[in-house]
Amino acid sequence: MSAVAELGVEHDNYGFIKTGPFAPADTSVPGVYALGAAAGPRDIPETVARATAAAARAQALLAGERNALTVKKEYPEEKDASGEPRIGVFVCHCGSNIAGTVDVEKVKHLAENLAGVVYAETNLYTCSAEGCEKIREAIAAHDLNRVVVAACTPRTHEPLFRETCREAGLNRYLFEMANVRDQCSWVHKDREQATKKAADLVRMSVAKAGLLKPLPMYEIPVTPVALVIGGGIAGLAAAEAIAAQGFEVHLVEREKNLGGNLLKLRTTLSGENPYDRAADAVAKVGSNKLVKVHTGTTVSAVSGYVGNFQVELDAGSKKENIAAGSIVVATGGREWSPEGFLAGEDDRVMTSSELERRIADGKFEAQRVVMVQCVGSRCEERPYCSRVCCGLALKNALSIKEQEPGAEVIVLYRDLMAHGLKEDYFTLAREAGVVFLRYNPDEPPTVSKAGDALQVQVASPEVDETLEIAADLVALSVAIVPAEGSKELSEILKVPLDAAGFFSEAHIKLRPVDFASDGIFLAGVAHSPKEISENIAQAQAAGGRAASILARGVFAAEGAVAKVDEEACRGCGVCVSVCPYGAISLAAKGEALVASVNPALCKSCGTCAGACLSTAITTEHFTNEQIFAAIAAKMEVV
Amino acid sequence: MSAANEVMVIGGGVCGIQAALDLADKGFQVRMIEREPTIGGRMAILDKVFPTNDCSICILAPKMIMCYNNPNIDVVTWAEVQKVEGKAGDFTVTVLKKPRYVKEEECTGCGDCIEVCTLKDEFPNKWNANLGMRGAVFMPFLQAVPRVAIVDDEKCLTLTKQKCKMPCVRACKRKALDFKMKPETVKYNVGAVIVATGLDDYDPSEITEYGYGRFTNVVRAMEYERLINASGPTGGHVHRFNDHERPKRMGFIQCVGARDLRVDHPYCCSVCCMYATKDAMLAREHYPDIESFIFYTDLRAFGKGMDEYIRRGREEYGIKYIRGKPGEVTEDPETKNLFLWYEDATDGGIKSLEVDFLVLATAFIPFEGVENLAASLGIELDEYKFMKSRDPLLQPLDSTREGILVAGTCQGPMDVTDSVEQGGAAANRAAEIIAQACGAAKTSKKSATRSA
Repeated sequence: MSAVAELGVEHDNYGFIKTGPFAPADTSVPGVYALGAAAGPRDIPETVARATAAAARAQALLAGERNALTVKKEYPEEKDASGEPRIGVFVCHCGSNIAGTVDVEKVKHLAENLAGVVYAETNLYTCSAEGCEKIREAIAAHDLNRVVVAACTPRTHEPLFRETCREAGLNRYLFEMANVRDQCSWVHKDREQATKKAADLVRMSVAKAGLLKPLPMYEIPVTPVALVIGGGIAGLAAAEAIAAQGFEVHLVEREKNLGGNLLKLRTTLSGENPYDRAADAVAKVGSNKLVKVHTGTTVSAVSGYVGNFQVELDAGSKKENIAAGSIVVATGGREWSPEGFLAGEDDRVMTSSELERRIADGKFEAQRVVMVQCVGSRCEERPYCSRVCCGLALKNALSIKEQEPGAEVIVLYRDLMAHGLKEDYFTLAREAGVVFLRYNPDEPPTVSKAGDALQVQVASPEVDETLEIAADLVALSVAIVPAEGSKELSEILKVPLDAAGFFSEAHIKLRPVDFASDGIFLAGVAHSPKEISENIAQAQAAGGRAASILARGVFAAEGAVAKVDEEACRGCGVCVSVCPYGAISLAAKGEALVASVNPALCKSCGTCAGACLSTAITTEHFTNEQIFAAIAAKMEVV
Repeated sequence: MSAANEVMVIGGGVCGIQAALDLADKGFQVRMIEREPTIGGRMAILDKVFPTNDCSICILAPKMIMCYNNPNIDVVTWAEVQKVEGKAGDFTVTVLKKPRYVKEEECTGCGDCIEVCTLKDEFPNKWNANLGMRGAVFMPFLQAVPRVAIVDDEKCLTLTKQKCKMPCVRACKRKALDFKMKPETVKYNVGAVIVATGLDDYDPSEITEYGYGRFTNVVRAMEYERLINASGPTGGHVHRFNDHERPKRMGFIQCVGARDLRVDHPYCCSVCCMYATKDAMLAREHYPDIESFIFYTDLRAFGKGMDEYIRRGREEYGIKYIRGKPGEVTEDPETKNLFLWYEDATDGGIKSLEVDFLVLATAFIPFEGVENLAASLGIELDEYKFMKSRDPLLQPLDSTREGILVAGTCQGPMDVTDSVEQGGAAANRAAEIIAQACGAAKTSKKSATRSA
C-alpha cells in the first residue's frame, strides 16, 4: 500500500489500484500501469493476459519516443538542373556479366561523343561503394546535372543509384538507366552485335536523359492501424508483434474461433503441446486491448493504398468499414482431401493428422501401420513438397513405438525431408525399429482389400519384387494446399498467387515477407507450407515490417505519376475506366468535370495517357517528348 | 531512454543486414559488429542463389551499401564482442576493435597500396576459398563494404620484422596507412542484442575415402562457388588443376561430413541438395555439353519452389541424380580422373563411375570459437554447438538469455530466405524487448522506493 501511495495512483476502497473498464491496465497516473492482482483478485491466465495489455500500453508510449535519438538523413540542397544538360555516363562491367559479352570500353567511347555528354567512365561494379562514390565525385567535379548508368536492371538497382544522385544534390528523377545486362549481355552471344545493341541502348538513355525534369515526391499521411487477415498461429503472432509496437490491429478470422490449424495438433516432434500453446496465444491476443478481433468475418473489399487502405469486413449479418495503414495476409492452408488409397471408403484409411489425434486421444489400436508419404505432393498438379508431412510421420511413428512397442510401423516414402536438426528424429525412429521403404513416384503404392483385410502394394527400388503388406491401419501424409478463398482474396488485394495457389512474395530470397505492392505483407502457410516456428518467425518479421510503416507516420510516394492538363481535359472519363489501379477520378472544376490523379495510387503505367482522347494526360518521367527522343536516337544512323 | 534506443547486431551477413535495416526503419539506432574487415558474410562469396539463379552479390551489394550508408546504423568491422553485462533494456557490451592499420575515414579503396605491397599476391585469400591470392595489405573482395584496405599483421613485413621499405605508405595519397594503430576496447550501451554470426563449412580431409586434399581434382562446394564466379580466381572458368582443361563429366557427392555420426554431425545441412543442383546447372550454362552426376541420400528440396527446381535440373539441364553414397573415390594417376565407387540401389551391384572433376557438398558447422562467443554472451549452445533458442516452438528467436536474440545460421543451417526472415523477426523481437524494458523502467523509476 505504501508503494501505491508513493506512486500517487488512485486506489479503490479495498486498496486495489483503480483502472478503467476500457483501459484495464491504465492507472490514474499516466505512464504507470497496474498488473495482475494489484488491480483486483484474478486468476493466473487473466493476470498474464492483462500483463500483456499493460506491456502493449507501455510500448504505445514508447512508440512516440522511439525516433527521438535517430538521425534523419540530411541531403544537400538540390542543384538547379534547368540549364543545358551535362550528362555523365557510367558503363558497368558487372564483373564479366556484361564485360564478358559487351565491349564496355567501346560503349564508353561512343557515349563520350554523344550530344550533352560531358563525362563517361567504366566501372568494374558501378553498384559497389566505390562505384557510387565515383558517381558522386563526378557529379561534383564535372558539374553533372543528369546521370546515366548502363548496367543491370532498374528493377533492383534504380533505387540505389537514385539515392546516390540525391546524396550528390541531384533530384532523384534526373537519373536514367540503360539495361545492358538483362536485356543485352545475358541474352546475346555475338560480341560485336551485343556491343552495338548496348551502344544503342546507351544512346537512347542519353537522349531521354537530356529531357528529364526534376520531380517532387509526395508525402502521404498514414493511418496508424494494421489489418491482419487470418487468425491462425501466424496471424496471431503478427497481430501480437504489431500491437507490441503500440499500434492498433484488426485481426480478421473467417472461422468462429481463433487458433487455426494449431488447435488440431496434439503434439510436436520435440514433445510440446501445441494445442495449449495456441490456446495461450489466443487468450493473449484476445485480451490485448490493442487487438480488435473479428471472428466469423471475411474481407470483402479493399481500396486505397499504403498508409490509407479502406477495408470492408463482412460478418455475414453485417458489414463494417475500417481504415488501415498496412495489411498482413496470414490466411494459412489446409490439408488436401486425398483421392484413392480407399480414402473415405474404409475407416482404417486416414490422414496422418487424423492418426495423430487418435494416438493422442488413446484411440490408437493396430499392430501394423503403413504410412504413405507425398500423397498429393510433388506431383504434376502440386509440384511442391509440403514440408511438414515427413515430420508428422516421424512424430506418429515415434508415438506409436512409445505406446505400443510391439506394433510395426512401415513408412513408404520418396525422400525423407528430415532437414536440419530434425534428422535426429529420423535416426531415433530407425533405432526404434520403424521400417522406412522408398517407393518410386512412377509406381506409387496402392491400397486394396483382400476380403476384409487391408492390403498395401508397393514396388520399392530396394526390393526386387512388389511387396504386399497386410495393414491394420493406413495413414496418408497428404499435401498442404492454400486456404479456401485465397484466390478471391488475391483479387481483392490485387496481389499475385503462384502456380500452386499460394501467395507470391516480392522476391523469394531477399523479400520473403513483402508483396510487391507497398504496405501489404505475408506470413505463414499462405506463403508456403512450413513448420510452427517458421510460421512464427515469418509472422514476426511481417508484423514488424507492417508496424514500421505505421511508425513512420508519413509515406513518400513516387513523383513519377500521371499528370492531367486540366485545360485540355474534356472530362469524358475514359481514363477512369481504363486505370487498373483506381487512381483516377473525375472532380468538378467550375461547371466542368476534369480528371484528377491520386499520386499514391498511380503506378505510372501510362494506360490513361494512351487512352486519353484529348492527349491531356502525360506520364511524368515517361513523357511523349522523352520517349520520342529515345526512339529517334535509336533510328539515327551512326 | 539512453540505452534502450540502441540495438547491437553481431554479424553483418544477410541476416544481420536485414535485422539492422528493419530496426533503422523502425526508428532505432543500430550498432553492427562484424568480426571480418567487410560485411556481406557468406552470401557475398556465393556465385548464384537458388531457385532463381540470381547473381548473389548483385542482389546483396545494394543492401550492404544501404546498411553502411544508413545514418542510423554504425557498422563496426574488424571487431569482436568480448563481454555482455547488464540485462534486457540495459546491456553494456565490451567490444575489441582490432587494428586495421588503415584509417577508415581516409582510405578511398583506390587499391594503390595493394598494387605496390612487397608481398603482393603471396598469400591465399580466404574470400576466394584460398584459391586466389592477396598481399599483406589487401581488400577481401571487390564489393567489400566498407571499401577500405586492411593490413594483415601476421604477414606484413613492417609489423612482423620492421623489415620493409613501406612502399604502401608512399603510394597512399591520402596518408591512410598507420602502423601505430593499437587494439581498442570500447563499451556500448544497448537495449537488446541480435546474434547473427553465421556458420562455417567443414574441411573434409578427415573423410579420407573421398581424397580431398590428396586427389588433384576434388574440391569443396564452397571452392567450386568461387571457381564458377566471374569475380573469382579463374574469372568464372572452371578448369582441372592438373591439365587446365575444362571438365566434361562432373561428379557431386552430397552429405560429406553431414548426416554422418562418425564426425559428430548427424544433422542435415538443409541447403546442399539445392545448391548442388544449382552448381550443376551453372556448369551446364558455361559448357552446354557437360554431364553432371549428383550422388544423394535423400533429395531434400522442401522449401518454396524447390522441388520444382530439382525437376528443372533433371528435365531441362539433364542432371543425373543417383541415389547412393559412394563408399570410395579412387584416382587414375595418369589422367587424374576420378572413379566413384557406389552401390546401385536398383540392383544392388557395385559400380564405378568415372568423372574428371568432383565437388563435395561438405557439412555446415558452427564457426570456430563459437563457445567463446557464447560464453561472452552468456547464452547456451545446443549439442551441436549451434545457438539454442529458449522456446523453439513459439519464440524461435529468443536465446537462453533475456534480451539476446539468435537469428540465421548461427541457429543451424538454413537458406538465405529463412535467414532474411529470421533477421526481420529478430528485429521485431528486439523492438518488443526494448519497449517492454522501457515501459518497466518508466514504472520502476517512479516506484524506486517500493517495497516488495
